[in-house]
Formats: sequence, C-alpha cells, structure tokens
Amino acid sequence: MSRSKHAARSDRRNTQTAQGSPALRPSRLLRNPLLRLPIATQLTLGFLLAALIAAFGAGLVGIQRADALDKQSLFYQNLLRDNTFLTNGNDFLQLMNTKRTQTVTDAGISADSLAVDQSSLQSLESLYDGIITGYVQHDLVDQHPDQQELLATGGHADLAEQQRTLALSALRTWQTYRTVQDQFLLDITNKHYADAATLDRVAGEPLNADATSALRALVRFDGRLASSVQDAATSEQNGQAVTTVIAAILAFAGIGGVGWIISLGIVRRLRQLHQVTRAVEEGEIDARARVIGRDEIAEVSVSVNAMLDTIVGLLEETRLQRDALTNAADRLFSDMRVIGAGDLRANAAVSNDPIGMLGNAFNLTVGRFRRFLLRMRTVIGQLDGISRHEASRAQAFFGYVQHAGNASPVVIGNSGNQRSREGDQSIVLQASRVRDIVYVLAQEGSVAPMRTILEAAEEAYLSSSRFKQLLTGLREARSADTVVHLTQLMVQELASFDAAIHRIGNEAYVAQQRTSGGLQQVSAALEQIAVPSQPIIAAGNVSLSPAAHADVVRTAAGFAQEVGALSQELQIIIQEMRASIAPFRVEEVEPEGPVPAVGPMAGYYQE
Amino acid sequence: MLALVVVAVLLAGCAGVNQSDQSLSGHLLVAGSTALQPLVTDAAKLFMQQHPQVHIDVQGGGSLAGLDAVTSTDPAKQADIGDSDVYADPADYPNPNLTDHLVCVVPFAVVVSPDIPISSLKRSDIAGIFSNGTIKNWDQLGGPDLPVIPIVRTLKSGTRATFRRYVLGGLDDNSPRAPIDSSQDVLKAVATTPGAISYLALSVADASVRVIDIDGIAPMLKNITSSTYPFWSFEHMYTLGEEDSNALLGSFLDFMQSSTVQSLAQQEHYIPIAAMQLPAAAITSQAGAGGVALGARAGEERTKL
Repeated sequence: MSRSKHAARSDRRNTQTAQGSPALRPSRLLRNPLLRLPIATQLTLGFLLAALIAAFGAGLVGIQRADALDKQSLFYQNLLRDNTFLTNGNDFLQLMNTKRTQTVTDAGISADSLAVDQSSLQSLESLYDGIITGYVQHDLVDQHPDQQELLATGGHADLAEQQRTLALSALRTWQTYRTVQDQFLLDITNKHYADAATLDRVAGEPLNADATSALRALVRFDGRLASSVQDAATSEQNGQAVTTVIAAILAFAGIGGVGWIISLGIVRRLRQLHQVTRAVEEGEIDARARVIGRDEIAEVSVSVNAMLDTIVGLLEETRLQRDALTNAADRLFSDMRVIGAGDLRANAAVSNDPIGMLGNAFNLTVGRFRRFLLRMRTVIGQLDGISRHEASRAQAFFGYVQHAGNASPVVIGNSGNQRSREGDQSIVLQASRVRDIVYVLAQEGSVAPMRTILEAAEEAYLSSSRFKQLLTGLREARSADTVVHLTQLMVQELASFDAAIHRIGNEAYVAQQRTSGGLQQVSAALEQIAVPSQPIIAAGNVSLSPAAHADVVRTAAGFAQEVGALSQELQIIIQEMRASIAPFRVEEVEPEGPVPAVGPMAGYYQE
Repeated sequence: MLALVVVAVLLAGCAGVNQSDQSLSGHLLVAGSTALQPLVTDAAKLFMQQHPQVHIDVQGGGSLAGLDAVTSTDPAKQADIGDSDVYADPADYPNPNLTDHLVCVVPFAVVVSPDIPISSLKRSDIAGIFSNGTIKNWDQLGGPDLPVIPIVRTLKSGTRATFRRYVLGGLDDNSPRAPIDSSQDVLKAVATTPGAISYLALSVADASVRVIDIDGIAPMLKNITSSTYPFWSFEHMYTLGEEDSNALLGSFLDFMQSSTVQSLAQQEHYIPIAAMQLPAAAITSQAGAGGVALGARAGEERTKL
C-alpha cells in the first residue's frame, strides 16, 4: 500500500519535473531579489552599499562643512566690507563736522575758501549718503536669506531685526542732520552767515553727533554679528558631528544589515540543502531542496534535486525489474511444480529477461525429457513385444521338442548318421549360444543401463529440488544484485538438471541399443537353430540316434525353459520400467515426429 | 555600534546644554529716561516674576543722567543700563564699549492747555513760540487773546533734545519759566496753566491737555512708522557691551525685545520696534533728491520767518 502511494508520489514529481525545468521554479524569488544575483555580486553589492553609505555620510558632512564655511566666510567678508564702509562713513561725518565749522570760520573772510568748503561739504554729503543708503538697500541681514539662516542656526534670528532698527536709526539721524546741513549751505549761499553760524552751533553739531552715534551703534552691532556667526559656526559643527555619527551608525547598520541578509540567504539555504541530503540519507527519498534565487546555491540545489530525481527513477526501475523477475520466477516455479507432478505438457513463458531465458532452457530440457520418455515408452513397448514373441517362440519350440520326444525315437539311416550327428552338435551349440546371449542381454543390456538411468533420475530430482529452493529465494529477493545472482545459480542448476536428463536419454539409448543388439543376436541364433533343424524335421527323423535324440530333446527343452524364464524376467523389468514412467503424462503426438524404429526390431514390430 | 550610540547621545547632550535655561540671579540697576521709565518698570516686574532671584532697580533722572550713570567710573553710581531718549554723543561719551540697544519708539506730542482751541501748528509757528520769541499771543495763531506760555524741560531731558532736533530743526527752545524736570510735571503744568504750550511723551499725555498736530500730521502710529510725523524718538538702552558676558544683562535686554514686552509697550502707547519702517525715500535711490527737497522746503520756511 505504502509502496504504491510512494510510487504515485514519485510519478507526480516526475511529471512536475518533466513539465518545468527545476531551475525555473521561482519559490519566494521576489521576496529577496538579492538572491537572483551571484554570491560574488551579492557580496560586492553589500560592501559597495556600505561604502556608498559611508562615502555619502562623509560627503554630506564635507559638503555641509564646506557650505557652512562658505557661508561664514561670505558673511565675514560682507561684515568686513560693511565695517570698512561704515568706518569710512564715520570719517565722512567727522569731516563734515570739521568742514562745517571751518565754513563758518571762512565765511566773510575768503570767498574762494568758502566755495571750496561748500563743494567739499556737498561731496562729503553725497559720499556718506551713498554709503548709508547702499548699506540700507543691500547689506542688511534680512536681505540675505543665507545670512539670516546662519544667524538662525546660531540662535540669533532676532539680530536681523535689531540691525534693521539700528540702520533705520542711522538713516533717520543722517537725514535729520542732512536737512540741517542743507539749510546751513543755503544760508552760506545766501550769505546769511550769522544764521549759518547759529545753525552750525545749535543744530549742526548735536545732529552730527546723533548721526555719528547711530552709525557707531551700527558698526558696533556688526561686531556683535561677527560673534553671532561664531556661535552659528559652533552650532553647525555640533550638527556636523551629529551627522557624522549618524552617518557612521547608518554605514555600520548598512554593512551589518547587508551582511546579515546575505549570510541569512546563504547560510539558511545551505542548511536547508544539508537537511535535504541528510533526509535522503535516512531514506526519505521524497525530500527535495527548495530552490530560492538564481545564484550558485540555487544552482547547486537544482543539481541536487535533479540528481535525487535520477536516483529515485533508477530505484524505481530496479524495483520494477525485480518485481517482473519475481513474477516470472513465480510462474516458472509453478510450471516446474506441474512438471514435477509429472505433467510434462506444461510450457514456461519465454521472454528476453534472465528468467525468461531460464524458462526457455527449462522448456528445452523438459522437451528433451519428454522426447526421452516417449522413446522409453516406445522402447518398452518394443521390448515387451520382443519378450512376448520370444516367450511364445520358446513355448512353441518346447512343445515341438516335447512332441518329437514322445513319438518313438526316430531311427536314422547310416547314410545320414554322420550329418545328423553334426546337425545335433550345431543345434546344441547354437542353443547354448542363444542362451548365453540372452543371459548377457539380461545382465548387461537391460539391468545395468536401467540402474544408470535411475541414478541420473535421482540426480535430476535433487537438482530440481535445489532449483525450487532457489526460486523461493528469488521470490523473497529484494535487491537487483541478489536477483541476478540467484538467476545465475538457477541457470547453473538448470544446466545440471539438463545434463542429468541428457544422461538419462543417453543411457536409455544405450540400453535400447544393447537390448536391440542382444535380441538381434538371439534372433540370429534362433534362425541358425531353425535352419539345421528343418532337414531333420523334413527327413522324418531318420538320422538321429535315439540317444542323441533324447539328448537334443532334453537340451532343447532346457533351452526353451531358459528362454521362457529369461523372457519372464524381461517382462518383469519391462513392467518395472513401465511403472517408473507411468506418472509422466505426455502429449501422444510428438511434435518432432515418431521415434524411428531401430534396426531389425522393426521387423518384429511390424509382424 | 553601542559605542557609536553612546557617542551620539553624548554629543546630543553637549548640544543640549547650550540651549538649556540657566537660572538667573543677581541685581541690575537701570537709570535714565523718564519717558521710558514706565515701560522698563513694568518689564522689570515681569522679568522678576519669571526669575525670582533677580532684582532689577529702575530709576529715572533723565536720559543724559542715564548715560552718565552707565558710563560712570564710580562703582557706586554706575548703572548697568542707561535709558535714553537721545543718542549718546561720541564726543561726550567716548567709551568705545558703549552699546546702543533700541528698545522701542516713543512718540512725543506738542500739547497746549485745554482752553486753546487750536488743533494743529506749523513747525515754523512752534519755532516762533519756542526759539525766536516772535509769537507771544495765541491770537497771532487765530486763537484766544491769551499770552503764549512755553514750558520747557531741563537740559538733561531727552524729550527736550528730541524736540529741538526734530521739531525745531536744531534751534534752541527758551522759556520765561523755570525748566521742569519730568514729563508728569509738564503734564500738570500745561493742564493747569492757561495759554501754556509744551511737549511730552504721548504715553504720558491724557485728556487734561490738548494734543496738537504738527504741520497737519497727527501723532498717530501710521504717521510715525512711516516717518511723516517727525516728533518721535528711539528709546535707547545703553550698556557697556557686557551683555555677552553678563547673562542676566543679556537676558533682560533680550526680554525687552521679546514679544511680551513689545506688546506691553504697545499697550502703554509706545510703538514696538518691529512696527517701524525704513523711510521709503531711503530704500529707493531717490533718497538724496528727497533730502535736498526737504532741506529746500525747510529753508523756504525759515526764510519766511
């Protein structure tokens, strides 16, 4: 039952294998696309990924740092430039103050100097106006998002607003002062020198001081901005350190993760493959490796599966062969049992396998035995006929001799005495020869060969019983080797069986030959006896002396008795032989034609 | 891996310490402008509520007194912060460490006694009253027949300096009466003296006096933030640049800039610093031309006088 289930499963697997190449069985292929790649590529990719993460982290930090340094240096550059401008502006304010006072001094003294003073004041005014207006228009932090960002990084976002306020303050004080200075210049131009002097004293100086003060506040604030940028730089460095650590952790985790995935993929599948091989080792020939991925391990798994499929197929084939052999051996065994029971009509199935060939050999042997039996039967019949004939002849001869003896002894004339005596002598001699021949025939021609035949038959029987044991062994045989070995042994047994049968046949032939030869001699001697006796019988017993006559009669009677006794003995032997072949049933029509009658025996047979 | 995580945590911790609030303690002396004094007093109260171990002493005395106090070399008199309505003149306060912190804007107003039914004055008229003495009676300006009584602040007053700079165009202001020391006293004096005219912080003014437009422009927020109304001033808190080393000082100055104090300033009729706008003329490239035009106009006005 389990065997058939197993076979069915194996069949299913075989069809599966036949339908799709095992290399294309994509179980869980999509779950880990990494496994599609060769192991070397997997490892390379893993390390490349880690290197990429590390490089990316380092690069990111580098870029951040470069970016930050760039921003900072730009900021510092701007601050420095602004500082230079504003310091120049401060100088211009101071110069305007000095020049204004000088203008008041020069007024009414030197018209030329006054003109120079005026133009100087105007040019200073426009210079300073350019500086402060340019600063307010272009250089405020909140007009530069990158600078604002940098300040925000340092936690000083509010500084931009303060700067704007201070710039507003500087601008306002400057505009107020400039209004007064313009008025001053107007007064000078209009030659209101007293008004101009008053304006210079009461308004010019304090407003110039205000403008200077506001400008100084702005310059000083730029100094604070510089230290704020320093704070921002420190804060960014901290951020970069954190980024570096995070990148390092990521790279580490990346390396670890990729390594873990790869090793998991490789080690787990190798372990699974190992389990499969071990399971097969322990007899679970159904076990198969799962093919995951397309890399080397997957290839090995496919190969192992294919190998297992092949091995299982071979096992299956062997098992089928063994079953077929066992069945054939069973059939052969039953045939042999039938034949062993005596029915020689059985015919074993013939095929190309060893058992079939065995059956063929068996058939040949049985056929030979069958022919031998038929021949034996024929021979027995012939012998039977001959012995009966001989007995009746001897009976007739004895009756004749008795009759001749009871009638008055024949007086034989002189002329025939000598011949009669000679004839008597030869008859006696012939008769004794016949007796000798019959005796020899009985001793050697029949009995000895029969004994040999019986021995050979014994041997054949032993051989057949050994064969039977071999068959039993074959039926229980499990492995192909055993089957082959047993089959060889059986072939040997059959050969020895065949040899025994052959010997039986030979012996039977020899016995037939000898018996036939002996009987021929007997027949010839009897003929010779019959021929010299004719004249005597025809002449009417003229030449025999009474003494001789009595002697002849006696001898003849003895001879006839001996012949009768021999033929009876022969009958007994024939009965024995008939009884010994009686259990064998053979087709009446021998396919190879009737056994040819041997020699002169045919004559007896036909009579 | 563990080591890396530990390092990361340590770094994060280091970064965090800088941010964490340290408990503040100590004493601050703030002195100066009486115009800014109400705001600073209230802000100091709030700050002391938040930081119980801090004591801030806010004193008045006038803007220049505040500047004197902050730049004083005498430890007993030295203030940490000098409040001022005016800029510290570099010639008078040459200390290079003197650092200006603009806290808010205080709007000023010219006020008259309630019995003067005039709502607006030209700057030339104001100058005629305070500087030149050309206007002696309100009927010259279309008002009742009352003598004009200008009331001025002392020389230490930032309000007076601002009035001179931004209303009188730098001219002196004179008064037959003795100068008054504080804005509150000015308010009382104007309210009780018929025909009186003076100037004070708008935050101090109330219904007992009449607030006058200058050149037809009212002291309103939008006119100040756009700089069309001239009579206002930045409120300065001067320090000697110790705010980076003195955590308490730095925190208090930051607190003054905070939205809490800025909205408080708005409630008390100051103008938050953020509300101020750069003059449009400065941002466009026509600043010079505008300035010249303004100057020319001022000149014309003066020539009329």
